[in-house]
Amino acid sequence: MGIEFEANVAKLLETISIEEAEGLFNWLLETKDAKVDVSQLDHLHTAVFQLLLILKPDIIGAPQANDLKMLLNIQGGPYEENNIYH
Amino acid sequence: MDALLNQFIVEGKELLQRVYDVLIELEEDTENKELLDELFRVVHTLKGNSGLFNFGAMTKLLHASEDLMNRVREGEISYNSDIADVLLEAMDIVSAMMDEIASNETISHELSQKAQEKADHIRAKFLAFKSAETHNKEDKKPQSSIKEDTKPKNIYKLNHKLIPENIKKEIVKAYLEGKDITFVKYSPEEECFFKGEDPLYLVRATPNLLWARGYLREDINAQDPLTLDIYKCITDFEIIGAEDENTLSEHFNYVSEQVRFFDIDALSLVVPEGTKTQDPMYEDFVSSAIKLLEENDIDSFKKTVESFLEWTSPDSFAHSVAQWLKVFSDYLPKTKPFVYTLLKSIETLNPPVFKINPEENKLSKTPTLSEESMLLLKTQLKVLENLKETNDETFKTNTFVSVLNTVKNLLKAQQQSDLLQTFEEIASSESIDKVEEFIKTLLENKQEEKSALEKPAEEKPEEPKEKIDQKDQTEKKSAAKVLKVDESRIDKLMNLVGELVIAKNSIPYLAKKVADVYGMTDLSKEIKSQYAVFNRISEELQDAVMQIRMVTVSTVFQRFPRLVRDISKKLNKKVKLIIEGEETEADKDVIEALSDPLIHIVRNSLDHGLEPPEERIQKGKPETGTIILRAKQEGDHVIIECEDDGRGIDPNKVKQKAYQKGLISEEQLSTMSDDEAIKLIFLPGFSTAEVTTELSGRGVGMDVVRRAVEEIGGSVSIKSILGKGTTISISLPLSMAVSNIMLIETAEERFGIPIDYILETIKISKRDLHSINGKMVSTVRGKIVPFIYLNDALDIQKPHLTDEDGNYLSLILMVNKEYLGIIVDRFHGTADIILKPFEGFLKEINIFSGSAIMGDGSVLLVINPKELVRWE
Repeated sequence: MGIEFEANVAKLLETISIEEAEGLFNWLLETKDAKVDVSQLDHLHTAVFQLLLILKPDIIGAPQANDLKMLLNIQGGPYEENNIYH
Repeated sequence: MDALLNQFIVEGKELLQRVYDVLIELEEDTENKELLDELFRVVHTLKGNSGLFNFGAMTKLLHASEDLMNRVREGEISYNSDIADVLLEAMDIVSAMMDEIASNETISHELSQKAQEKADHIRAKFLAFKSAETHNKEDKKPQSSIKEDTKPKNIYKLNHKLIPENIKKEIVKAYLEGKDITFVKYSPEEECFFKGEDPLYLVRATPNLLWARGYLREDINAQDPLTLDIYKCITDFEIIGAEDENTLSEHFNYVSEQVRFFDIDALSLVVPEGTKTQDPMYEDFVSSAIKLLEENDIDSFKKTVESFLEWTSPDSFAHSVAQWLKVFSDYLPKTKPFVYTLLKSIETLNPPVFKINPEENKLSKTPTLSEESMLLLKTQLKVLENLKETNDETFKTNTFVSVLNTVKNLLKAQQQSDLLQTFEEIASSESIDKVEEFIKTLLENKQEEKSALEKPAEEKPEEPKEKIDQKDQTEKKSAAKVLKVDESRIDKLMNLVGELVIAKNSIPYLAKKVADVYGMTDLSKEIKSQYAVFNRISEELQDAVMQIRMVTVSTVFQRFPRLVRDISKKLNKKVKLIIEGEETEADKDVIEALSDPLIHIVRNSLDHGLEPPEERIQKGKPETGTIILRAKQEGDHVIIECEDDGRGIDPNKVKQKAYQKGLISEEQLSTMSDDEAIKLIFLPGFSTAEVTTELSGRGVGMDVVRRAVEEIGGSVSIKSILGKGTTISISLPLSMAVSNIMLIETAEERFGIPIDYILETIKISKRDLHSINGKMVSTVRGKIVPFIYLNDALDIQKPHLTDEDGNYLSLILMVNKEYLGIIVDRFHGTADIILKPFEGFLKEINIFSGSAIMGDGSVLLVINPKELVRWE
């Protein structure tokens, strides 16, 4: 549970709740070349997910859940970036 | 009670019974349109009737049931055992309400409440039936959340590039499988986080989620990140689910204002990509593929596609198309047109353009003959089969011609011109067999094309042909004029006829008096001859009334399908109930008395007889156990049998238990035969069930059953083969009313003994009576027959009279296949009587089966020979 920060990698462990959003947000603003490790991620609150959309850090690793892979764009493929707005 | 209300109840009960019957029939035949329609109509009628009388709660419940039935018959929901359960429960409540109306003319508040709850439950379940799980929110929403039929949805213009290729394939596969594909646009409101919502969670939990993406709906690039409000939700979601809109809207119920639903054109996702190079091998592939398709050689087609995939470069356009070919070929032959389009695309190297019939947005099955045609064909087949039995040539020819015409017209109407041509050729051969063959093949082919799931393999034992014939006959009977008569009127009629029969009996006495006392022998003769006429007429009258009281066994049998279904479900056993001979008739009292014992017997079979499915499979038996309820007439008796293919009764176990309970002696334990051992289950206080279940209770069962049957003049017997099954037979007299008895006298008192039991009357001397082990016996024509003094049995402390030679008068009876000699004083001929069984605490006097009023007004006690045997 929670986020482990080590150097420039934030490891998202299991379930990340809305309470962690602020911490991650600040870390992402401060850290250069920030990377987010999602290999052990089970679920993240929308607010946290939203942060990734906004600040676009590099995502490393792949979560187990297929739908999460899909939502975090960890599949590679001929599609445009996630940040499309109307 | 108001006559109209009475009518409502009578009709209502009939309609309810029809509902029960159809509901159970449907479980075996869930797609049967006729049944679904009938069910809907019946419930609709019930609803309408209840409305006339202002029984609001009943109407509401029936309305909910009707709506549910409507959805089912429209094909929006498929019928399953959950729906059957809920409808059965609803009908039970309606039935209970009818009972209340019958006694109190109103419905109690309690029951109305129950009805309301059930109606709400059904309405909520409308939607739940379409999805396995609903989102975990409290169910206390106002029940008006049923959506009316949805407005036509718009097609969402998908950007297919946003969907990964493998997921596109999943979506198209789902589409080809005929699943509903719905596109959801979920735009959570900005403050949703403060409401404790997590939209991402809701999205991920979507039932049958195929694809989803989340994206920002605002452009925040320009904004200074430091001023960002991270707790404001600016993320939208696009979701594709393999579910229909109703299920999804149920899932998103709490945020319904924030979601919108769309259809998508699944085939627009088929966008092959890659380098486009011409290659002559493509042409070869396409032409051989097309050839295989024409030949319907699907396996070879698939193999060809596979090898094409192997030698084409993965970057090429053709390879990409072939991958789609693979997907579509799994759903041949219905995807043939699409496959052709894809093949063309390989040829032309242009993107495939799929044309779908705009009226269908779902893939339809290949046009088959309609349901009605299949039914029609089936009946024609039956007619032809019956034709083979007739000898009347003209009839044969005419009927054959009409069958031919029917089939021709059918094929014309269904626009099956190829079939029509083939059929016309066959028809010209004038061979009934060939026509039969043709029809049979038609029916088989059309049934194969139906993409229904295979039903779990229930063994369908062969239905005896008589069943079909008899069914036709009963249908004809019911077409004849039927009068509904109040049961009490028939009973009154029967009583009057009974009195008439007794009253007429007095005339011979009078005739005798006229001759003996008044010496007018001529008059006496005249009276006697007139009496003969009188007698004949009153006997015929009695027969006629008895006929009126005859009802079919089906009135008792009809409750068993439901009973078996409910109990087998409870016990987790698979059981099939077969009913034979339900149109067999017997007197209504007999039939009614049959009901409880039979229920007990069937419950026993279900509970103790039939094994659970796993055990059956282990034993090499079919998983589904069978219970056969059979009724047939034999002479003046009706035989009812309950046969199961369960465990059978273990004679050794039974013997042991009986011995343990002190019901038999050690000697009997060792000498008793298997057949006799099985009969021990009829002893009071017997039960080998280790655990008494709530269903069958303790061993009071078989004893009570036997008594109940014997009380109405019947008998029970049992046959069982260990491991194979058990058959319990009940034999009942066709009518209970009039008995023929022999009048005997002992100690100056008269008694009656039913003639059925009497074999003969003989004189027996004291010398011939021997005592063995304290029991009296004698030899009659080489057989050893036990004897008793009737005075002893009746507790009369007097010796019996003997004639001048010192001989006793005796009757030899046959009771339960055993002989018994009864010593009496005198015989007085026979008489017809109406036996009135004892009531109240006279019932406990078992030695008498009842009393009768004689022609001279005296009361005759009628002895029950079965008790004499026991007494011995």
